[in-house]
Amino acid sequence: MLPKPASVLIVEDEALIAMDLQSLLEDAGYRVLGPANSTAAAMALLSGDEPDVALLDVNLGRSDVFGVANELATRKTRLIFLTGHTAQKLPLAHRHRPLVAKPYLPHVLLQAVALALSQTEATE
Amino acid sequence: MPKAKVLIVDDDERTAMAVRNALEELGQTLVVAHSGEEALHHLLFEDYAVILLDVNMPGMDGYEMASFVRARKRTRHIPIVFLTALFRDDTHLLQAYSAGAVDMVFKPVDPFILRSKVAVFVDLYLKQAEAQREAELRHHLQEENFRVRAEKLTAEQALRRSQEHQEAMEKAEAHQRTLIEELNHRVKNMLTVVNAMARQTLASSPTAEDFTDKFIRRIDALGRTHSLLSREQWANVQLCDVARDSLEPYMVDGKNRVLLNGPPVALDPKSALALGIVFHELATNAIKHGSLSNHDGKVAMSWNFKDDRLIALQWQESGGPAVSPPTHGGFGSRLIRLELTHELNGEVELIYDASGLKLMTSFPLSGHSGGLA
Repeated sequence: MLPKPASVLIVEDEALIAMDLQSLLEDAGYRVLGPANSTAAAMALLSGDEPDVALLDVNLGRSDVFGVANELATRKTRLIFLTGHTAQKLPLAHRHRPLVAKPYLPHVLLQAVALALSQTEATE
Repeated sequence: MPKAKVLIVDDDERTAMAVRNALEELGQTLVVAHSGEEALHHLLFEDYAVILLDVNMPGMDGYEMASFVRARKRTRHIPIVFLTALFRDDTHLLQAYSAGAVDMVFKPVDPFILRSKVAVFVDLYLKQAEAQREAELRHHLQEENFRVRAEKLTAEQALRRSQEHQEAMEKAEAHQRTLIEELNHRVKNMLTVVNAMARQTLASSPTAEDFTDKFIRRIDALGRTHSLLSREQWANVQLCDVARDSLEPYMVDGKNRVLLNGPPVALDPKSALALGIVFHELATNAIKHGSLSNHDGKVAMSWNFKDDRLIALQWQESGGPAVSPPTHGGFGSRLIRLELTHELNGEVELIYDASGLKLMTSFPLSGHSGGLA
């Protein structure tokens, strides 16, 4: 029996970027949750599923993603932030988390996801 | 101790001496004049506490001199005491007082009486001088006070202005930092979008020429919508303007093959960009495979308000070649669906009807969009 593919939650409100992330991850063999375009959509997805890794765009339209990030942190889900800003913009609680800069190189993104998954448990 | 000046006017040297001696004791400054003219000359330059004036003098007599003293503004306040040897009768007394004397001393002069009378006037003069000095001092202090307060106020105002300037500078710098960050964020996002678009277009392009054509047109469409937004200062833009902008490259033959119909709808930048992409993909597809690929086919795009904040939009092709679901370039229809659902939170239905492609969508206006602008 084939091992169940790891699942990645995508929270990104820009349609083209969301589509690109999804196709990159699916081509690499992951199962994609979403993409969710808002905090509300993300929370709705989380009510029915438990992703192995979450890829979060820091700027979600008018809101930011940290409500979802905090929820995922309590569930001990691995988090990766995607952003055009620097780590300084992240709240203190999340400043240590893995960050992938926009625009991203596909292999850099996939490396970050693989690295996150390789950790036996999510960092606090 | 300041001294008062006493002016003694008598042509007779012996009388003058006697008066001088009598007044020596008072310790004030005594000035002797031997004629009216001489006395007037003294009065030009100095102020006197009292004038002791001999009535009987050759040339200008005492009465004449007194009238000069009374006539001049500068000297009329100085008390005049007549020295007279004339008979002490009422006529003379009246004449003396009419001339402006305040008192009389009869010759031969009694030193004690003279001294007492002069002492009174000296005392009065010194007291007045003292009061004057005090008033001046008080006035000076008041002026100093006002001046210092005015200076303090000016300094406070200058400080406040400089603080306000400083605050304004800091605010401007913070605003600039925010704008730069915002710009940086938008540019990074745009580059990511372009990357994504390149990758996805490549995946659905059989040849390099195909890729180049599609990719360039897609970037061009993005650019057009951005230009439209820039023209409107990144405030709301009209839906019909976004449509016209996207479809304009495909209306080159002048025939009105694309019909737009709907009320004014103001879109926020995010919605405008999403719809710009949708219209571009629909138009490209119509040109390549749909009703704009032949000479007569038409496109009718219409929209209206379903309720206060819900827009229903329809794209109907007609008169084109027979339609079948897309075999290649599935990216285009995927992109249309994703923009409408993911960016605009709307619903979409693509119907590949034999007579022509039909797209029906409804999406809510975001908080910043609206109806009539």
